[in-house]
This record gives sequence, C-alpha cells and structure tokens, in this order.
Amino acid sequence: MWNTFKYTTLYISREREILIWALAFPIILSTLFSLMFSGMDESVYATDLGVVVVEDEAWESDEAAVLREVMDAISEPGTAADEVGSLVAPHYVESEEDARRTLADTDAIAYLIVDEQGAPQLHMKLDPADSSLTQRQTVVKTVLDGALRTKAAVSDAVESHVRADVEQAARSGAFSPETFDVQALPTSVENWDQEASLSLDDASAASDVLMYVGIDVEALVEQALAATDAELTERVSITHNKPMESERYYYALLGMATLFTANIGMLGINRMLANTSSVGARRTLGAASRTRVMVATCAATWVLSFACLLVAYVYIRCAIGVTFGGKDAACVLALAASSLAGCMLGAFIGAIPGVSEGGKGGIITVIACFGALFAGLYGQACMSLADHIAAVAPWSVYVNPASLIARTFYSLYYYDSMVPYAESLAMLLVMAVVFLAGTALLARRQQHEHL
Amino acid sequence: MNIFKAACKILLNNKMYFLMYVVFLGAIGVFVATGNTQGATSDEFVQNRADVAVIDRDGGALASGVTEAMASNATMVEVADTERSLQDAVAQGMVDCLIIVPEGYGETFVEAVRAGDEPPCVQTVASFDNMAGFEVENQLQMYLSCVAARTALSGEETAQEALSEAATAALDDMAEQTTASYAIEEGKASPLPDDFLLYNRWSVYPIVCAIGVLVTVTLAGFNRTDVRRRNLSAPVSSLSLSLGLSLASVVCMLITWVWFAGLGLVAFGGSLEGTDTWRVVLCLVDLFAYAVFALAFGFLLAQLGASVAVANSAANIVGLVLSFLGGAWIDIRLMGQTLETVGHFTPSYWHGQALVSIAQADGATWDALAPAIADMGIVFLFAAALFAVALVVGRVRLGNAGTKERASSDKSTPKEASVA
Repeated sequence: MWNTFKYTTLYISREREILIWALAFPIILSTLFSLMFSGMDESVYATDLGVVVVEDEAWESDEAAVLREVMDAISEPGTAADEVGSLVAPHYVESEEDARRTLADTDAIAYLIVDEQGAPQLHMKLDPADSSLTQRQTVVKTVLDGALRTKAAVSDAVESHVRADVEQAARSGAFSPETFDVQALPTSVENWDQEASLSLDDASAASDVLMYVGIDVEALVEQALAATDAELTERVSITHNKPMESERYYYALLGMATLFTANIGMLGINRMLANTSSVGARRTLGAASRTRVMVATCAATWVLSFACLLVAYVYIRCAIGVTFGGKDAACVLALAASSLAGCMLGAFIGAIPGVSEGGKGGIITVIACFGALFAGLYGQACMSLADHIAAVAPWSVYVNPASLIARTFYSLYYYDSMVPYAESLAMLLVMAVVFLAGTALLARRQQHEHL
Repeated sequence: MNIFKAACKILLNNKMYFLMYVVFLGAIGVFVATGNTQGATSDEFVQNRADVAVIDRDGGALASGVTEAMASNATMVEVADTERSLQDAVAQGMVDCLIIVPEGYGETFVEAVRAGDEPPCVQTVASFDNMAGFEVENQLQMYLSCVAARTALSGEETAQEALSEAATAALDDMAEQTTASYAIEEGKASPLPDDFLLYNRWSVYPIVCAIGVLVTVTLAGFNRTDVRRRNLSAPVSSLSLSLGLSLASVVCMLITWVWFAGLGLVAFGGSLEGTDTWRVVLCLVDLFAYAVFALAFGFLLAQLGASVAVANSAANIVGLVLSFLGGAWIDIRLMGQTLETVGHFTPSYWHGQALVSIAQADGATWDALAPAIADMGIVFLFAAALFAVALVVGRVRLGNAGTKERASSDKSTPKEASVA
C-alpha cells in the first residue's frame, strides 16, 4: 500500500501539465485580483466629486444663500464618507457656457446653476463607460436635496406653530382685533395665503408684530434648526469582519482552483484502471487488493492536491495579503476538506468507464467552469446571480463544490459563530464520501475483453 | 476538402465544449445582462436606487415613516430579523444599507427632541458598496431631521400623536427635490441599450474559451505525430492541408460569432427597438473582430502543441484575465490607474472601447465613426499580431522537431551498428 502511494505520488508529480495548472491558475489569477481590487475597495467611497458651479448673479443672490453655505460645507475636508477627503471639489465658472465646456473637458460629474428663484438645477454628465457615474451624481443630488428638504420642514413647522399660537392667543383673548392692529402688517403679509410673494423685509416686519404679541419666530426657527443639527444615524457593524467585495472573489477562486486539482484525482484513478495504462494493467494483475490500491491512490492524489492548494493559499495569504479573517488553522483544515472533496470528484470522473483521459479532463473543465460561475467568480453580475440562486435555492450551494468551498471561507470571515463553518466542512466531507463511494462502485468488478 | 471534412468531424466530436462555452455561457450572458438598465434611458436624470432593508423593531409611526421615506428613493429588500440573515445581507451585498430601528425608538426620540436633548440614533449597517450606503444614510438623516424639526415645534398633543403627524408631514418634505437632467441635447440619451452593451462585453470570456479550445482541439488532432506523418506522406499538398484546417477553424469561429450575435439580437430585440440599425451592425462587427482575435489565440495554442487539458486551462485563464483587464465584468476605472494602463494592452479593452465609441457616435458619418473604427482596428491588429506570433512559434517548433529527430536518429545509429 505504501509502495502504491509512493509511486502514484511520483508518477503524478511527473505530470507537469496537471500540477503546473493546479498551481499556476490560482497564483496567476490571485495576482491579477490583487492588482485589480487594491483600487476597488477604496474607490467605493465618494470623494472629491467634481461639480462645476455657475457663479452668476443668481448664485450670489440672497435666495441662494443656503445653497452657498451647503456647497462650502461639503467642500471641507472630512465631509466624504471616508471621513478624510471632501465630498465635493467645486470648480467655479462665470457662465453656463463655460460650465458646459468645463464639464466636457474635465472629470467633473455635473454642473450646478441657480435659477432666479434661487432653486438649484443640476445638469449631469452622461458617460455610458462609467458605471459608477450615476451613483456619484446621486450622492451630490441627495446632499442638495437635503438643503431643500430641511428648509421646507423648518419653514412648515414654524408656520404651523405660529398659526397654532395665534389661534390660541385669539381664543384666550390675548390676541384680539382690539390689541392687534392688522394695519401694522405689510400688505404682502396680510395676503400671504393668497400666494402673494413675501420679501425678507416683509417677513421681518411680520416677525416684529408677532414678537409684540409674544411669538418669537426667530427662536422657533433656531429651535427647529437645532433639532435638525443632531446626528440621527449611527453606523454599526454586525459581521465578524468588515464586508469587503474583493474577499469573496478569492474564495470563489479557491473553489475553482480546487476543481482544477480534481484533474489529479482523475489522473490517479484513471491510470489505476486496468485498460487505460500499462501501470493500471500491471497493478490489476499484482498481488495488492483493489481496495488497497484504490485507497493508496486516492490518498496520494489528495496529498498532491492539498499541497498545491496549500501553496496557493500561502501565496494569497502572505504575498497578496488577503486576511481570511486571520483564522489560518481553520483555513488549512478547510483546504484539506476542499481538496479531499475535489480529489474524490476527480476520482469519480476518472473511474467512469469508456471515456478517454482527455474526455474526462474535459468533463472536469466543464464542472469547474459551471461551478465557478455559480460561485460568482465571473464578475459582479455573476456574484449577484450566485447570491440570488443561493437565496432562492439554498440546496444549490451543497451540490456545487466551488460554492461550498467559497461558503466555507466566507463563514470563517463573516460569522462570529463557528457553527456555519463546521456545517460547510461537514458537507464537504459528505461530498467526498459520496464521490468515493461512487468511485468504488464504478471501479469494482470491471471486466475487460482484453488488456 | 477531405481535410476540412475530417476537421469538422473532430469539431462535432467535441460538442461538449460547444455546449458549455457557447450555448450555456451565452445563455448565462443573456441572464446576467437582462434587466441591466442602470444608464440613462431618457434625457431626465434617474437617480441611483440603492438596495435597502429596514428592520423595524419599534413598530411605531416613525419606523413606518422611515420605511416609506426610504421606499420612495430606494429599492426595498426583505430581510429576516435573524443574526445570520442580517449578516448575509450585508456580507453578500444583497442590501447596500441595512437600517435597524431599535425597540422603543419612537418614544425615546420624541422625549429627547421635545426636551432639547440629544435624540437616539437609528442604526445603519453599510455593505461593501460604501457610496450607496452613504447615500442611504444621507436620506435617512434627512428624513429624521425633518421629523425632529416638526416634533420640536409640536404643540400640546401626546407624544404618539405628535410623532405620527411629524412622520407623515416629513414624507411631504422628502418630496422636495433638486431639478436634475442630463447636460445633453434632447434625444441624445442612451443610443444603445445597457443590457445589449453588457451582453457584448460579457461575451469576451466565452468567446475566447469557445474558439480557443475548439480550434486547438481540432488542430491538435492533426498535430498528433502519427496523423501528421500520414498526412505528410499522403498525396495532399501542404497548401491544401493548411487551407482545409484554416477553413475548419474559420467555420468554428463563424459558428461561435453567429451564435453570440444572434442570441444577443433575439434576447435584447425589445431593448433594441428604436436603436439605429448601423449602431447594432457595428456592435456585431466589433464582436466579429474579437472573435477573429480568439481565432488567432486558438491558432497560437495549437502551434504551441497544447493538449486538451492545457488548452482548457490556458483559455480559461486568458479569458478571465482579458475579461477583468478589459473591464468586461468590473468597471476598469475602479481598478486604479496602473491596471487601467495595463488594460490598454488587451484586445478586450479595445472591444469595450469600440462599444462605447459606437454608443457615443453622433451619426453614421466617417468623422463620427472614426473612433469606433479605430478601436475595432486595434482589435484586428491584436489578432494579426497574435497570428504572426503563432506562425513564428509553429516555424520554430517545426525546426526544433527536425533537430530533435536528427538528434534521435544520430543517437540510434551507433546502437544499431553495434547490434549489427
């Protein structure tokens, strides 16, 4: 048995094509991922969003005062989501024509112009090649919306409060036509409900009159504004580690790499069969029982695939710097179980009679590609698709080795509890046992017309 | 013709690869791209809708108001209030932001605001898309600010009544919006539908795998030593042999291209309604250019003497690398300047650029189409360069093979002599 193990390990080690791809695939792709994702995890923050501002008469008017304050505030460092950069990098121009030109020639995402009533108008850049442009534009629009909404809420709340106070004062007799001279109000204030426009002077005069009867409008406005100033949301974390989009691609990559190592299991068992190679024919005629040969062959292929995956893991962990949640021992155990499941899958395919070695390799490639697809390796859209399928049909994760392997590492990274990890590990072992049983069933009692 | 027929037989014997790389991955491309309409479909700016889930542990008017306010600007997602579901939702990016309204929040909120104290906070959990999370937090802060302003000035009514009124009125405040539109002339938005563009970009991977593997497998069949010897000694000219094999490779490429092009037209026919025909035709030409590159890649693999296993692995790795570096799966602008520069040296990048140029062309004039034609030309040049490399590799391998054969015959001669 030891000799079978030893020589199987030796002859598979000489199959450089298989081993190189088992090692090269995860190393090449993880290197590429590291280059790609180094910028991606940071670029999800909206910082220094270029906005061209038309600094004309309307912008300088009193009506646009709040808007100017908002723009100054969000241009300060520390206002972006990363709490370091500024949310907006404004670029001031004199006319709308200049704004259009600047928008086209620079990285700016929109230009802002104020109409005569002081209402802001955003004109967005259109670029089909930039997938995150709409999102960044939405962030700018949301902030400007905030200024309008707060203004509307405060004005309406103050107006309702003043109206209620006046009604109460009228009911209590403290505020009666005898004590209140309506003529003291400007005409525009008297007729405010008939949609007459109120100037600031008129409002101030009205405020003075209301103050006279005990209603302090300015204090009400300050009270309302103070309530809006409070911090009303608090960001918390509920996962063991911070969610990182890039992490899951490495897990899916390990899933596909494991399926590529299934070629090792396939090769070992395929060449153990009596009619596929001279080694197989010799072994069949040898003194060692089929069971012992098969166990030794499976063990040898598992050791080799585990070694390949371990090298890939050490590279991803140390050279690329993927943390895997810092649970190395658990990760190595997961790799051992993954390689066992992958190897047994390969062994099962290798034991299929009547298919050439090339054909069996093709079947493994098909499974690896399908598996990786549903594990989400092929980009954001596929990752969403994989998550959707896993949510709708949770069983699909347990029939796809690549998904299950990715899920095992995912459990280690995100969950506080080790139970989901143990569940995934157990499922990998069950998968390995099922494939091993299938291999034994296919490989036993095979009869050959000639060898 | 016999060579061509034999090559076609080899192709037919490898239906599995055709089914997997062409039929199945093509269908997945359609599935992935369907419903992808994130870009502009009219001149009116449509803001991004983040995915949000509200976990209402309060059950009061304020929590309902939060849900309603968020629903007007975001896509609401149902998430169960269990530890694992919540963790999965943010870890998998099912939601961009999770909003947790704690139990008794509304009551504490009213008391604090009326007393002029610091009100309690609603908890948010952002997923990895921090930009969308930030946007949702902004919306939430706005809504709660409006409620706070109204509650602070509420009259003598009870806390529940005041909160209910404020939560409802704040929804009207949230209707206030900045006017936003695209800075383009009317009717210029979205000349090509996003789903069709994404499908064409996504096809980069399956096309390289399909054509690369199928061409390699076909040519590898003829590269086997015995077959090659037989063919060389047969009364078939070298030109006829090469033409037959080339024709089979081209047929393989054409089948793949027609399949992907046809599938795209059928699947996204609805989205393409009203789109200029010349734009669609140019997109298909762009896809053809990429298919030609894939053909050159397959030819190179065959010239390198790749086995089926190596061809599969190499095609998958190259397909994945080209897809990522070309920005087919993830926007290349998110990857940093270095990778964006590296991307310029891949045909997949220029394939994607050509699609953008086609979408941005003002009309079917030479001037307007020059950028798109130049981009496609670069893809064809990549194919030509790779084809030239493949020819050189083939030549070198042939030379080496001759040397090896001579060397082996030199070695065998003394042995044979001694035996004699």
